[in-house]
Amino acid sequence: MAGGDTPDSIDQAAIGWVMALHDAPGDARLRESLAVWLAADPAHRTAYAQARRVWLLTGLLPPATDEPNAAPAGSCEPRSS
Amino acid sequence: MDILTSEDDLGEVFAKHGTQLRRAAHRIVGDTHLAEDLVQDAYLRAKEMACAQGTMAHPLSYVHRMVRNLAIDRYRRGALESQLFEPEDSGVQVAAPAARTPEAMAIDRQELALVARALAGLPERVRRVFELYRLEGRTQREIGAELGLSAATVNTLIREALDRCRAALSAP
Repeated sequence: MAGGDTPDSIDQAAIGWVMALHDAPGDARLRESLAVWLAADPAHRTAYAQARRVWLLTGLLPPATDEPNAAPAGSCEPRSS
Repeated sequence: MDILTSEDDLGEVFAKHGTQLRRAAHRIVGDTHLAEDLVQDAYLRAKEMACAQGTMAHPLSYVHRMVRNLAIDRYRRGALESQLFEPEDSGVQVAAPAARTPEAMAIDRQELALVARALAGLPERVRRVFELYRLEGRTQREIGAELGLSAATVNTLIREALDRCRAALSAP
């Protein structure tokens, strides 16, 4: 997923990497490819850090349909794993 | 036994179980925004702990206990009159989070608010696709099947959501 080297294309590539890693977390070859892409350009590293940050933040926010005060009947805390 | 190996894994625990954690906090403090803030605070504190220890066994149990303890503590202190963060259009500086780590990925309330607004501004279909992917852990193929969209469309919509959030953070 090299694409061009405009800022937009680098941002898009970074997003693509975040999604690819999420989709296939155990893929060692994918990780190696990412490492190569990151090493190629500091702009790649900046964009990737930014994309990872967005990924993290979006995971901490409730969904549109979140209803914390509408607990289903019989809900309870999870058992220890 | 599940052990965290990176601070990003802790974020995934919160992403996956966020609704449940917010519900637990809400049962104690009775306020939706406060419950959200408490869960985000718990993330900050848990991340500090995970960074200090290197790993964390039973992360969900630990996090759940932390959310409950923070909520009980807040409830006892009569939390409802002391808000955790100001609305971003009030002109008041948002309060810095209580805990920061030396790592670069500290959570900033202002960034959370910007991303929240970006997500709220997404077209409903885009948001739904993104939430299925990010919060409910569905694959792009599953999302396509469930919503009657092509895999390419699903991919595009997820990218759009992430790109809008990125833009919201980098806007001057």
